[in-house]
Amino acid sequence: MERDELYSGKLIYVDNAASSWPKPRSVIKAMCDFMEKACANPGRSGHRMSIEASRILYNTRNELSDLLNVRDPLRVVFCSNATEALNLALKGLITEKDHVITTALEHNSVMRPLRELENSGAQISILKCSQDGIPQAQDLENLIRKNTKLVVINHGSNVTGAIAPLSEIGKITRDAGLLLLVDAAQTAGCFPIDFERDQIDLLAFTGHKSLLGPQGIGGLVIGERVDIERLKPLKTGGTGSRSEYEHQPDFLPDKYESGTPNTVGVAGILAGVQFVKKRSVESIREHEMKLTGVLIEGFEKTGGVRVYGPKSLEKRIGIVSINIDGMPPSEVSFCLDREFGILTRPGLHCAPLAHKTIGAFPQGTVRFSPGVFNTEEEMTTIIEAVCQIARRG
Amino acid sequence: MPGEADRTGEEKLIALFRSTNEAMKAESVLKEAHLPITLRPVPKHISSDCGVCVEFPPDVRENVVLVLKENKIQFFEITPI
Repeated sequence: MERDELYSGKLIYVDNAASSWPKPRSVIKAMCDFMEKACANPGRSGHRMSIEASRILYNTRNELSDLLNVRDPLRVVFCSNATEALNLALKGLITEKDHVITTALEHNSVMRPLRELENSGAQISILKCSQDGIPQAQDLENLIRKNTKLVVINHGSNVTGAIAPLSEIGKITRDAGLLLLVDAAQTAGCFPIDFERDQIDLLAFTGHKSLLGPQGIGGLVIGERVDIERLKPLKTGGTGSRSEYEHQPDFLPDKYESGTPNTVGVAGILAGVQFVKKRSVESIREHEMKLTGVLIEGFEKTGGVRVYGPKSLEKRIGIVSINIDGMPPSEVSFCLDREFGILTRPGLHCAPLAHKTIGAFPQGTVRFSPGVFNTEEEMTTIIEAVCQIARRG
Repeated sequence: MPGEADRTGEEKLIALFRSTNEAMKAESVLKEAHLPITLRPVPKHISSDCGVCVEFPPDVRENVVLVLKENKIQFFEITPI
């Protein structure tokens, strides 16, 4: 219902892995309400509007903690996106003496900060993945060195849709006394995450994908095993707390939240998380995987189409990457948009190494990522469109 | 507002926190525990900081302290206003 009101024309939007659309009506309303009624500076004054803005921040931390099973809401630190959260964790923790293990599936939001740290002396090892894009957890132990500090993994690949074996990696990492940083950009809101059970120490999330909020807001969950004295902030400045001191506060979340926050964005995430919780992550996953199953089955029956990623739906999130023989992904994506109104993403999806792993470098793939508001009927239309394009190719 | 206690004739206590974020968590857990608390600006004669604090009647002091400790919320002072 919400979707029909928002869709204009006959677009089929299947680029939810880049940014989800449409947004629930409640998200748009919450953001408008904040702008109209409570748009004061949180934590900077004691009047009712400022307190209301502060409450929105706290309530959102609280809802996110509940969704991800984090014990203390004040351990949820807001950032401008998952990239900033990952930069905070990596640059804040890793020194030139440290060794970090990551996987061959990482997005550039992890690879680029790591390569930058490598230039300053840090050592990086890359855990190999199977060709369908699953990190081989059994090889992790062999990569651990005396100076290994952190393991960083992409929970759900934005290229193949493959899910990393989180609890297995979490156990090995915890047993070795290391910290585990999880990039949950593609999974928070559409795949069950349990911060405690999966033995996660740091988790980066974004608001604008499966949490169904706006762009420009995300965050980092900082677990109890992380020594915040040793986690440097990316920026310092005004926090509204301890204003009489010229030094940065040393407590959570203020240490990492300098400057006026994106409160309207947080208000959007709050409504998004509430929408997700009402529907339940499990039922959203069930819906998205049903659509993903239809797509994969349809594509596999289509001559000249190659489907990447794990065969089993249980090992995937709602992302399907394909290539049509003899056609560049950008051309396929352009045809889908121009002729059929089907909106996808072509190319490398900011993850060159992941494409090398699956054998789709440098051309990339065409990526379909259905979301909570897509329908089975739309998937059938997509398969027919891809069939038509493949026949021409 | 130093005159508030005199005006109402009833003494009130306030708990002070390091940040508004911690005061928000305090408000949330104390309300969940059904304690009669109110969030208010920190009186200027107590601190020059721009934050908020939690106000409550003296007879619930012990319960307030207990709930804050249970939830590991640091407060650095409980004082009358």
